[in-house]
Amino acid sequence: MTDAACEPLLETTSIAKYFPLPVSARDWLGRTPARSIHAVDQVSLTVRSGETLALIGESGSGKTTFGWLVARLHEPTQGTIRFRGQDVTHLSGSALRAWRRNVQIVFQDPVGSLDPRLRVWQIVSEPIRAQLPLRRAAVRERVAELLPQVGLPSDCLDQYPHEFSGGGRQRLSLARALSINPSLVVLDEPTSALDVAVQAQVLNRLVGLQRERGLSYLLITHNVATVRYAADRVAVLYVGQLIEIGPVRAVLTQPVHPYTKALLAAVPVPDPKRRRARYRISGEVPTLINPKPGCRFAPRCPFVIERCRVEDPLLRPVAEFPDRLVACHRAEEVGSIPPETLIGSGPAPPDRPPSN
Amino acid sequence: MTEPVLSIEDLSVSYATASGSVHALSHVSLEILPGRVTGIVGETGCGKSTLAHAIPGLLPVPAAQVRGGRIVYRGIDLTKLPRWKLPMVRGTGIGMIFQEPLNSLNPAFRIYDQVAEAIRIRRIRERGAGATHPEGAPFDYSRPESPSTAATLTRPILPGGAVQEHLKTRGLHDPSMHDEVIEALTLVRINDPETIVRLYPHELSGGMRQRVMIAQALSERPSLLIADEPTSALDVTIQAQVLTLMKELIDELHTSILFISHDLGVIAEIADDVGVLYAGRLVELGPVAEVFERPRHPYTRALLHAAPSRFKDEGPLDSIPGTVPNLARLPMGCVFHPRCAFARENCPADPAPPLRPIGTAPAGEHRTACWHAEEVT
Repeated sequence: MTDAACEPLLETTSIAKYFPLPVSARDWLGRTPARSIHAVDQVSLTVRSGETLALIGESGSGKTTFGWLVARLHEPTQGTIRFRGQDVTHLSGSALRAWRRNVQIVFQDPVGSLDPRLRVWQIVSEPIRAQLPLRRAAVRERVAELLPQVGLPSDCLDQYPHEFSGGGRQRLSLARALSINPSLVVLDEPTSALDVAVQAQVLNRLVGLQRERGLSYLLITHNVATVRYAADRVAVLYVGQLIEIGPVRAVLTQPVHPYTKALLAAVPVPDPKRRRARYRISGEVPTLINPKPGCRFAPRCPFVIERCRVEDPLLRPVAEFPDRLVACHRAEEVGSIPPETLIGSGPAPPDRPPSN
Repeated sequence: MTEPVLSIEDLSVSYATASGSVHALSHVSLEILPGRVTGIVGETGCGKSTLAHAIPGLLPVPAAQVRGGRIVYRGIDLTKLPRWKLPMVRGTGIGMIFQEPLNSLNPAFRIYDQVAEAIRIRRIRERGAGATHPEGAPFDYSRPESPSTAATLTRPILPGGAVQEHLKTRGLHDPSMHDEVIEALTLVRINDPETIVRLYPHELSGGMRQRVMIAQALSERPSLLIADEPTSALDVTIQAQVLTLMKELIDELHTSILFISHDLGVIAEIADDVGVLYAGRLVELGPVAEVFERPRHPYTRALLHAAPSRFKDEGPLDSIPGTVPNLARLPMGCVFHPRCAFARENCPADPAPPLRPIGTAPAGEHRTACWHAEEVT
């Protein structure tokens, strides 16, 4: 499923979302230029038909905002979204509503995204009822068929969401997204609220459903272990920008970008033998408010050179690594350095409080 | 054998709920040795946090009740200690770090005041005990203490304009206090403490707040630190920084730590010993390398196998069938038997298996609560 011949299902071109900050009277009088939070900045990527593309990054990297943009829940500030070759960036009204059956989203919070006053059949059938003129009995029948596919009993139609465990709620959320047979499902942290044993059950079901139905997933997560098991390709985001994208096995075993190396080295492994001094980056994620030019990872990067601080690195292929795009000026030099040999950290930046 | 810092003997805790009594902890026995990090790992609802809160007497009584057992700290049983004496144990004796630092720091006070508060309390205690001890650190908890000293320690912070006056009278603003606050923040590798002390908690990032929490807890010089999911709310690179910091501080200060986490990776990273909790029972206990490499309880084994460690084309993940039992209606016999791949007829019939020594680790260090542990490989 990873071969490049697969047709692109969804394609974003230089898509961006800036959230403007409120302008105070003082800013207005002082003619201070308007400031905005650059949540997603010029991200171009493709989700192929039948694949899982994982978006990985830390909090504030713009993963969720990107997922919302793709599902047309946010209006992009710039850029275009194409779905099966058709430009859907500016769809509205009934055209948008009709298009929505193609892309569904499983929200991050399985408690907050299920209305506590609705019964299971009402929750799961919400997209059906919005899209199709079906009678109540027919709707209930479709829901009853769907529930076993996500691993829930089909006789719980009249229960309420609070009667389910965390894993059960996540399955309800998944059933709702699948109810109108979308071709792309945006999974926003589908397992982050779950314990490891339940997480394994849900991931197995997700992969099973993909094989049965030929679904595409955009998997948004901060959890590297989830990506390893569920993804075909992985895209790494840092402060709103795409910094590396490639096949999952290759990226996880041979990360090129210094941030990807640091991210993977920071993941705790349940193996006490591997406990040792490891590659650590110092400092914290910089602010998203009107970021300065240059590579955003430069202040924390152990390989930083002067060029990194002034010139934005562009996403480009790296010779030694097929199917890989990396945004780093020194990708060729640092690419083959395994993270295990990088002990210690880069220049320690001052611990600045985030400027508000 | 060295004297443990804390020993928990046969501790049982239950919560009274509308649907009856919920057994959050059943017959848990555990020893925390000096200078070692004891990890506790388990899923949601297994009783990890109940254990963390039971030790310093932070359980929400009367809903939660200690049904049996003892928690012995410096020769006294904390479960029998009157409530007014508990503040003497908390902080200086047993420090705590919680999961969400924003909820644990007071939003209305600057970082300086919050760290100074901890130092002030330590000084009061040292004045009480320092006469008999040159280093001033150990406090004689068995000595009868007057309720007024305890009241000083727990005096509430006054509202409104009285606050500044009150802080002055507490000696928070003398120069030696300032130096000590800066020193505490430097210890946790905060680069610019002079700026940080003037800020409020909401102005700091998650990683910085957690460092402040650690600084606050350590500035009371506890002999035991209870860390309840201290890195779970942090991003993975920040978590790595905080874990590295904690490891360095353990080496510098020789504090014993009870480290609670749901993340097997974090436990493998930091703990020396590990206890695995399932449905309120300790099912396996031993040195971390031994338990992770040769788990001898089916639950530990299944938990380690459930962590996603393979790629999609390598076959499905192993999951544990079924769900965690309802703590109000626990299964008969071994609590894990309905989900266990090794279960036999005797598992539901016999009483719950006790922890027993197994394996090759010396002096029965590796213990498991399974009748068929010899078959678990």
